[in-house]
Amino acid sequence: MLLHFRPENAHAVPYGKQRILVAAKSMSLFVMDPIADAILTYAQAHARTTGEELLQALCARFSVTEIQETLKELVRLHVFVTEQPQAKPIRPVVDVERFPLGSLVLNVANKCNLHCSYCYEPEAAKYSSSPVRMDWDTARQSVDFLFQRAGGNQEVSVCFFGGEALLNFTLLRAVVAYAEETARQREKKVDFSLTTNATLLTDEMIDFFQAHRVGITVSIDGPQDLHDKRRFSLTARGERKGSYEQVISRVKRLFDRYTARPVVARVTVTKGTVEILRIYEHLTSLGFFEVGFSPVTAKNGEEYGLEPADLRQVLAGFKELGGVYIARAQQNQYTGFSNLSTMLTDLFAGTNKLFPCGAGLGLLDVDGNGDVYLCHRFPGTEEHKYGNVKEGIAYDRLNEFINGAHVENKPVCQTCWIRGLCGGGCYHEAYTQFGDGALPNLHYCDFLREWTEYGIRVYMELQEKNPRFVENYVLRGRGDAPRELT
Amino acid sequence: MKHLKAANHKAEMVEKVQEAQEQEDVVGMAMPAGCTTIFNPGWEANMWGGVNGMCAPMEADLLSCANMCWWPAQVPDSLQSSPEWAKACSGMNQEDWKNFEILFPKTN
Repeated sequence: MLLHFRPENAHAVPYGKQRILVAAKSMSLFVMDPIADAILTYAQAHARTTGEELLQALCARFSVTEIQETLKELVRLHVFVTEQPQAKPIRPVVDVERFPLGSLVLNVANKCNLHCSYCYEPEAAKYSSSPVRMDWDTARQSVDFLFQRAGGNQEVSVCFFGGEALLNFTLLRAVVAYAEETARQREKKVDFSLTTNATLLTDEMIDFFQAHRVGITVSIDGPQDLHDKRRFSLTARGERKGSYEQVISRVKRLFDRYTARPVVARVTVTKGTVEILRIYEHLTSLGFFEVGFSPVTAKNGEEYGLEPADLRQVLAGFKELGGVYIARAQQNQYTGFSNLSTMLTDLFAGTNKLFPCGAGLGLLDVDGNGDVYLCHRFPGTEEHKYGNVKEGIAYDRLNEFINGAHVENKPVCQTCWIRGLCGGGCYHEAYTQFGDGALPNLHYCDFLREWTEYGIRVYMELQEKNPRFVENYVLRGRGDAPRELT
Repeated sequence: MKHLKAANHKAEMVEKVQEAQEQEDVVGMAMPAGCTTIFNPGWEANMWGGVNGMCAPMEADLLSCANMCWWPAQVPDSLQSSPEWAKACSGMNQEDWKNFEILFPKTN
């Protein structure tokens, strides 16, 4: 029997005395016994092996029956296949028009009162003489659009974004009231969230968010020296000034009055601000429940961009914080390190995605003009504008992009064992780096593979030292875990 | 699985599916008859690659297809309830299918 080894479907991660098999076709994880391990080792060293050769090589150490049994199990996982693999035709996998919408991001204001150096929103959009503010008509139609396209979803999400969303708090308040009423009429639930720089928070706003359980994410980069490196306000004379003090006074007020939901800190990691553990400790000491670290999106040459050496530091910092995560987990204490919690959720579930995220599928963005984009990062980018809430969505073009962008259509990704977890990479990152949203995030591939391997070791250690921790503390309440697991 | 120990939820699901597939829940008929003994799907061509002498569509070969436990044709029960329904149809002439009786469900 001729066996074809599929290296892209098998990756081994050492853990203690054993190795964990990542069966990449299903993103299932298995602990290998010595026979499975020996078979995999042999196959990885001998690209084309026949069943007979494999038996010959291993029959001194194991019985033929055992080897054949194990091979059968590995065939089930597509680690080996018994037929000549054929080139797969590129096929459409989804009809976007029939995919139910779950989340809608509303860019209620393009303008921003801050001048952070790394912002991906174009300058012209934020600071032009007539900045775009969403009007009530557009907002109402957007909410209607969300509910009309929600399909079978019992719950939908409205996210307020900008620029700085709080610059249009009046509209935000009206949208919340309208969406809640619409949800009542349609017997669905609606959830609200907001991303903000926090500088404009008033007591009135905080109390409103408390009353309507609006989830809040604050963009803050860490302790003052790190935050003020790139998150500026402008003085009356037009000089740059760090915004930390402004942010802190508002954040402290927020934590005084708001208890509805855990507050998340979104950290943009840039050159020179890679002290992950220090940032985490500072932000959680302020009261943030969870910290999410986002390496900055930058074209080559930007001064704030992360170079390979910086990314290595970021990874080292993630692992340092991971050590804290594991130690606290053994005391049944949850650590709000978003990046690791999301990874553990995906590893536990065996998440196997064809797409990097829900953009264009379950999630869309509407800007102040009513124009519809893939996600909140794309307003202003003509290429990824797909119509308008008033005039209709360009489903043909959206279908073409989405079906072209799924991971099986990315040749480079076919040999990668984390393709089911990564899904091919963020469209906006690819667009910024390479000018093409459908390309993989080549600049992150190594980083992500190493991070995933680390995540698997953390996962196995948690399963060993505190078996219910992942299920009870990490999974519950995470929007991205499969429903049956939460 | 004997040599691989499931370490995540997906792995457990894969094992469950495999166990289910290994259990035989479909057993072949002990006394197959007629066309049912042959598992060529479709019968698209005869053994010389031609299409003559092929199994006619069920509708044109209704009585043969309804005999002897052959699966595709659902016909009225000619033993008890509707012994007359095929009386006017020779069954040999593929053109006189219009002579089948039309039966309607009985209502109370």
